[in-house]
Amino acid sequence: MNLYFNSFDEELAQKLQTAANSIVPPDRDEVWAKISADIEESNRKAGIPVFRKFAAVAAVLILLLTAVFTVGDYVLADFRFFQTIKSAFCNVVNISGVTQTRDETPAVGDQKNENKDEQDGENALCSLGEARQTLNYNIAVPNYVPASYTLNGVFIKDKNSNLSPVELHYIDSVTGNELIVDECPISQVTSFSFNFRSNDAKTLNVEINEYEATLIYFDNTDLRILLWQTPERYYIVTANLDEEEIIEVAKSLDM
Amino acid sequence: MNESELFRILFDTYFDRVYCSTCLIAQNDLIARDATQEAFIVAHKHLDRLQDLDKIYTWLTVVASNQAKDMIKKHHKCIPVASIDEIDNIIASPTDIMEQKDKEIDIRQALKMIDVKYREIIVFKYYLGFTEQEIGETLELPAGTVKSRLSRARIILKDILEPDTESGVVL
Repeated sequence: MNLYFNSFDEELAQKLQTAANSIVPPDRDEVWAKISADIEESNRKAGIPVFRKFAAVAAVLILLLTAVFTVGDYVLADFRFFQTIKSAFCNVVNISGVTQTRDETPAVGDQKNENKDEQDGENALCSLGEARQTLNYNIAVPNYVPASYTLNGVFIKDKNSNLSPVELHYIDSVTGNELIVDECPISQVTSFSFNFRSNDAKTLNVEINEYEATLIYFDNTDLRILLWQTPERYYIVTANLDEEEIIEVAKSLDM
Repeated sequence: MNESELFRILFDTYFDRVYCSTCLIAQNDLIARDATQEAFIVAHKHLDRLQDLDKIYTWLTVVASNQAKDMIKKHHKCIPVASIDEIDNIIASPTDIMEQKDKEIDIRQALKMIDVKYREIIVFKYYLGFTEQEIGETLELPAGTVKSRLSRARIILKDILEPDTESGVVL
């Protein structure tokens, strides 16, 4: 039996060698460029003295504590609060945003009802006209989308609210890819969070009609996500489009 | 020669080989690329400690292999939409294995069908030519575990590659 397996072992070693020879490694210079960028980034971070890092953390803590003890809940009472936070830790980038007003924070019971309604009407698209009738604000529609894309429908996230966030779903008739324009009035209580490894994605700061925006590009899926906020709303455009096209779609939004 | 030139030489010398070993273990090009990339980044951090040039290739392969295993585990929790087909290929169901038996199967397809812990040990033994003792030391596994995994991996692979012959014999 051992002899039998020895011949199998030899065959296995040979087959593995052949399989390895047939593997085509990725472009070495491309990988080297990524490694160099990562090393450079690490060196840059390592260059920040520890006391400065502590000082920055301490400053944020002091600011938060001051807000809680001096202003308390009133900090949310009169002001609409919207914040986009970008942070990076161990190659993981987090981009998160939250909008909140104290008056509009739903009670736990309300939240349960909302969740139920959300499940009932999940993914139901309606026409742009219906959405405009339901909602109490002007839905911004892009004046430009690539020629092969057509509007498939509008998804109202919370049908009980006339300030509900909406998603405009466009579909590419050739590839079936979707282009989604997500918009949310800042008066609405909502939040979003993106986490991704900086190895898989590149981020770029761009400008959309004078507002600072973040463009995330995922290497693996060729997907781009563009996020920005105006004083009234935040917008997220998600699509498999190239950089210029997705920016053009965003800029064409009637904000 | 400065440190960065030395590191570039190290990268040029070993990248292809480390990538191939990792690709055999991960059975996924993207994971293999990312894992190999990470291994070189880790190597750069510990460049001053990598004195024994003979062991650098082994060290890089082990780091890349560990990275690949972590990435495969994470893929189970979060599957990028575009990679669903690839993930399906990583873990084949028993039905898939039975269906595949009807066709002629090459070694890469066979490797895809077995668990990554078996793939790793097969690659270390038959591709990198490690002894069982070296595998145990490198992967920090007890000798008994190395033996049993290797034996099990061989039986499964033989079953997949040569389905018509009897192999369910414990060595």
